[in-house]
Amino acid sequence: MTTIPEAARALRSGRTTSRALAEASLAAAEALNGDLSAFVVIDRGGALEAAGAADEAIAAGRDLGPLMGVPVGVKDIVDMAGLPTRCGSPAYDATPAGSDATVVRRLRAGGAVIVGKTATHELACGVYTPPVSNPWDLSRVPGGSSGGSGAAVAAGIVPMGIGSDTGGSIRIPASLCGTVGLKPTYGRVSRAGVAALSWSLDHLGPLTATVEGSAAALEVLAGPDPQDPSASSRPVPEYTRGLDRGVDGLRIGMLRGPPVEPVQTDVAQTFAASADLLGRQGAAMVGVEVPELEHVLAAEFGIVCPEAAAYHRDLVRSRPEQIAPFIRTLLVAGLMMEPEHYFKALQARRAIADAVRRAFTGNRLDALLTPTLPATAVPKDLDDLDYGTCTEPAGAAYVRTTSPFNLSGLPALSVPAGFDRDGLPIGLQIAAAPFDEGTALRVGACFESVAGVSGRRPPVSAPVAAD
Amino acid sequence: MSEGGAGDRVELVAARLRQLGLDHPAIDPAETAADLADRVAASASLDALVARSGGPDPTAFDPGGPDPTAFDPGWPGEPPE
Repeated sequence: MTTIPEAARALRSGRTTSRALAEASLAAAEALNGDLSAFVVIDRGGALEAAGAADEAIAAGRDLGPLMGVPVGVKDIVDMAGLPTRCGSPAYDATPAGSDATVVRRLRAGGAVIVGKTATHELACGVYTPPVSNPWDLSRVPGGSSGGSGAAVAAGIVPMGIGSDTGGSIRIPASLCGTVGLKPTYGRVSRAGVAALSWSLDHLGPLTATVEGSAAALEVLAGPDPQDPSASSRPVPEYTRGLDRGVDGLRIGMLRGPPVEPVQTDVAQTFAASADLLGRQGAAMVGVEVPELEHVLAAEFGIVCPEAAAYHRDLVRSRPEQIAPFIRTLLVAGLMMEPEHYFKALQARRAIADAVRRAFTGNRLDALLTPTLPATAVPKDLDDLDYGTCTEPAGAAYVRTTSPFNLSGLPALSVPAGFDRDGLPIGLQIAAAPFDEGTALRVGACFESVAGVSGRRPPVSAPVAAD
Repeated sequence: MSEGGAGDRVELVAARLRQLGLDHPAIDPAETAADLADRVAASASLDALVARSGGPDPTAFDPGGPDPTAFDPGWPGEPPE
């Protein structure tokens, strides 16, 4: 499978057709799903129908946008009319959704070809996404909760997958699988028609093979939506413009201290090398500490717990045996705890968001870097990460570096930055000011162009289509 | 806490579970009590941060929409939409 920009150019030049791309994507999905379990539904009929319509549009000279004719996957917490939304849970039945989520409507209107629904960690509440495997090492987790989209994009089955992100669920699989993952600003992409985990922390966004693909996808996905009161009415910029402007003249912070310590040695070295590389491209690199971020996990789970419990209150009362123990415990606690704990977590969130804002404005930052995650992909049968001097549950480690940008609502992009000694991907996280996805993408595009990391393919992947 | 105290706490949790319609074989009162204690401790760890920040109002209400939890990520001084 090609990238979104490559597919767009090939389609418009007549070198390929949407049907050919869809056939290749479907064949790869069917061939690799036994190893990866990335898809819970492969929609051959729907995909070929959409591809045919895209080919007709191209033949008629209509341009529906950068995803026209491009195969994509959609996380299975997002409604698609005619297909069930199972949320990775045995508690959700096979009743087909009656209508499309707003993002699906936008994808269809933009001519995208939805190949199928990708696996999610149960109720989008977890960072492992069983039984999905990581294409770089099938014995390791792909991350979560958008693990199916991460594995599908990394393996080259589709050049874009929709993910959701409450504490890192787009960026975690992006980092662990070696793809680009963008969590836009809170409210930038409508969540109407999408199962919630935590209303005030949930975001939707793309996982893609390249930064340019991420920019193109956001142009299609973003925009106001009367069905989602949190969706912003701000104009949607052309994110693909200006990606090649480089970073000369930008001030970029490097987050130190909590919550980016401890990290694995290979991650620390890759992060230092990544910051150095951006500095050599002309950015002014500034060390930044935000002590308030020590409290991100307490604030994050203090909000997720009662909001998720409120959303799933009927399920947890009527069929708790159908919920995985870890998630059930969280939901029960959310119904049991006193309101003061929720409101205190919301107060802490304000304090953390203010501290991040001060870090940006006080240091005149255009962007802020962190390792996307403290560690690479953990084996499926291991729960703890070993840093040499201490250990940490992977479920906490994978959230502490990403959740600051759910709590603050800021856009945050993960780009592939390198590999550890076992050949597993390492991600670089680039955050920017509210609704300034353009700067995060610009920094990411510059880094991608000089880092020489993107383009490496995992051992389990689709054959590269010949032009 | 004494063993009796822990037992009392589990009993209180079991009673609360019944009150909330959560008394189900899949929901263990002892596990729930232990988990709640951890979460209350995590919540207490936020006290100093919240106090230092002046106890900001976390409930700012947007009359434009019914979502009770809508969070405005914009920064003060930014132009309105």
